[in-house]
Amino acid sequence: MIVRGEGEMMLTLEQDHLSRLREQAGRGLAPSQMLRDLLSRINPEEPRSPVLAWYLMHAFGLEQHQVAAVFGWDPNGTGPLDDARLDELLARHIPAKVGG
Amino acid sequence: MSGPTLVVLPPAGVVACEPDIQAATSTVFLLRNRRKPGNFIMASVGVQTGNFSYHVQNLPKDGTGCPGRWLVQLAWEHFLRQGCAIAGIRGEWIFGDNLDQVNALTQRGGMSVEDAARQTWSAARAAERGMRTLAVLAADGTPGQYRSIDVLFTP
Repeated sequence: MIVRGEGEMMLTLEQDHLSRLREQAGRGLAPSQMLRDLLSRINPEEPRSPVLAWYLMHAFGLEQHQVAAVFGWDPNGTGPLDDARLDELLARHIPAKVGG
Repeated sequence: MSGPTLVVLPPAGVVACEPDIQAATSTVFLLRNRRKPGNFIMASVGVQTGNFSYHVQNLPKDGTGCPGRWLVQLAWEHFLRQGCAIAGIRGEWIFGDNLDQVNALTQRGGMSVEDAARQTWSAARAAERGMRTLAVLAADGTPGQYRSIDVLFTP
């Protein structure tokens, strides 16, 4: 039950990071590389995967199910999905040439 | 983060559940458990499709934390309060319990992928919300060894 507060809350998504993701995709960078670069810049608190997923959704106009792979990936290689599988799954949805 | 603070009371009787809503907008809902980093839900409603999607997690499976079923209900109620007309529930199962269950049920000539998908945890959550019609939009792999399954639940 939500007992206090109405209206909207927002984690802040930085426009610079969104633009950088689009530019990286335009250069053909692998999604795993893009996400590692993003993590090095934003260093979100745990859990990190929702923030990464949200950035991808906003940067590329995707629905959440299209970025579901992010929730199974860990940059340290400890998640159920490795870099290759993440890249394969996200490449289906991230436009190859989006420009900066 | 900005905006007003939302406070959620955890359900009675649960251990180590301290909900923290990090985002609650017309399209995205994100709640994490301050007491357990592997316990959270992220949910959204597609602007164009009206489909509800979510990822809910409570790891490790040690009996503590905010229950997944309760987290799904919170997210669902949030979007209804926002006035969303939810058309369906969309899932892309590429790891985790739903995919594992489908693979267990379809191996060695077992159920069809559709029947197996109806037995999953997420199918039960969909049915609770009146979404009882299942469409398997895509299935990558073979029975017992599916690598991904795309599903849509509708009324």
